[in-house]
Amino acid sequence: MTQAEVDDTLKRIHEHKGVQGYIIINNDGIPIRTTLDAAVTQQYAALIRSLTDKARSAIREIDPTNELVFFRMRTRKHEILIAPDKEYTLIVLQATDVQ
Amino acid sequence: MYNSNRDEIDSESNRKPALFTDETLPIVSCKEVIQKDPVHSVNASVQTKFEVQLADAECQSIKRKEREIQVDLGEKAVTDEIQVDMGRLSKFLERTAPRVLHYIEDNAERPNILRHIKLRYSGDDTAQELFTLTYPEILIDKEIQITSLSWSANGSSIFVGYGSTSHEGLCMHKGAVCSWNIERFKINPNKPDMTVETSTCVTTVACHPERPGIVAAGLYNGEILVWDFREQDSLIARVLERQDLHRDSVTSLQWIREPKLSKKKFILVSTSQDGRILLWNPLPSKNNLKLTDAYFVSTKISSKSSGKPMGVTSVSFNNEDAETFVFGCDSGHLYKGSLNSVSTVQSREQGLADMTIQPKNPITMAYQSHDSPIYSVNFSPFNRHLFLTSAHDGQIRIYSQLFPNYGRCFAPAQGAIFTCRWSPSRPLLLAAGSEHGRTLIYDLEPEEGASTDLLSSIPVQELPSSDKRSSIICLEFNHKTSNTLACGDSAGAVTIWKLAERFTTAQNDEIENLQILAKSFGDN
Repeated sequence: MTQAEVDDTLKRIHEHKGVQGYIIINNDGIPIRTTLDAAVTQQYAALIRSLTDKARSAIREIDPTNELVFFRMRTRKHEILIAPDKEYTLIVLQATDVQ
Repeated sequence: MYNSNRDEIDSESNRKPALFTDETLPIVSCKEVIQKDPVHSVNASVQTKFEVQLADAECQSIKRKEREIQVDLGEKAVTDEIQVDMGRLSKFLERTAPRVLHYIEDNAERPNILRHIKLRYSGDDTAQELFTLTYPEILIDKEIQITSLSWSANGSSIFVGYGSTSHEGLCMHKGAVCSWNIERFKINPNKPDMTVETSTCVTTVACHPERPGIVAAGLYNGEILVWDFREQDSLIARVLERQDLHRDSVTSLQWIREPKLSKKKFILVSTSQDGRILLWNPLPSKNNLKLTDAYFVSTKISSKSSGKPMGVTSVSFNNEDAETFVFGCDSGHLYKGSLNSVSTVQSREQGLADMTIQPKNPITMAYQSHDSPIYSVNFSPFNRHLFLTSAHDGQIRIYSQLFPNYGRCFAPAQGAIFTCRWSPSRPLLLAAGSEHGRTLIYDLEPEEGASTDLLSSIPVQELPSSDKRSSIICLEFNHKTSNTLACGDSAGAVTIWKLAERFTTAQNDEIENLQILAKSFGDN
């Protein structure tokens, strides 16, 4: 039931135009679901986790009543969308130079 | 008679005087009872019958420690083993998926707008001079200057070849190859980390693109030497067959991937003033350079000329098509050649028939020539058609290999242009070294709002040589740290520049602009 829902949602994300892959990591930074290969996944998980923590604490310091909800990094080759949460974090890679 | 009692006898009257007389007693003799047996003695000598064997051995107690180590492969992908609470995961996705999908759709709808945002580089464009490397001892001979530069495979060392460009007859100079490691903490700019002397002037230096320590150099007398500086005995190869040697100075050396066989090893290509383009076998193998392929370029054969050799000054191989190359000649002619060419050489030049591999004529296409010797040619690393040439007439030209006439020409009026190179990181950037002592950097980026036909024809930056006067003889971009540029000048100094960000980071659409430029050459 919930497994099917989860898969369904993830499939919808993955099949969107330009999406190259996604990673879901838990609070410990361990990837739970991924469509990229293991080495790249590990790299993204580790690096984006620390970046997310930094971003979250930056927002907290600026305004303690505020909190980080979502952020995107646009690079020349693709855009990285990061949705951090208290339990998991969803990372999506989308190509940007789609003609 | 007297009657006496004893007492009377003993009376004095009856005492007679004692008479003592000497008496000797007779000797008592006793016979010897001990029997003396004669002592038995025997004489005998003893000797060992066999040879005495001596053995010497030293022994020393050694302390041994044993430990076993094992490399553990990383833990397996954890995705299978982590317990995931599906309920919570699904709730998480309920929360975040809509937002993520919204932004994905957003991106999908407007991808092109953001692509055309050009980064405006803040900060200045000035290049920072990192080091000026000289070697005063070799520059004692005033005629010696830098002839060639090459960065090492990992981009941290630079190898410099010293030689002279003015020779009246035989070369009486001693050349050298020196190297500096510019990433060391303390480098001494006046003392190279390593020096190798050669018997004659070094005219060209080339480092192996993948194996550090292997350096090849071409000399003024046509020899080619290859060193491996990690070995004790550094010279690892030279040409052994006398008939294969170049007969005139080696003008350029390059390592290229073996095009026909494995494409994994690198082979050496040398060009020379004697008109030959030679390919040598991959190293290391048996300490000598063996000819694997040969090409000969000659002037047209006619009744008057016997097909004299046309000195080849520079060669550049296409990045995508490993068998195509362009080369420039001493006469100003520019040709495209192919390693597949089988046309024979029309020349009566002596020495050709003796070579172990018969040379062929490589020419497949001729381009619009310069009026004076071409000093340097260079294919673009980003576009398979475009290549750069620079010549003694002071012109820098951009050709497309499809069209015989040049597409763009820059004439900076700075004397002869001795060298030109495309940037390895920015498709539209090129650098050239001039006789009047400046390194010119051109940016082919089209001006905003203008069409690509109006290219800026003045250099965006000019970097001076070490003493502001000596000509820039050679320049090389560092392929690992692309903002580093090394320029060698005729005063014998190498200046290492760190270029500004604007000149090293490519924009989004540079490769496309380059292609548009290449196509536009056909319209002219």
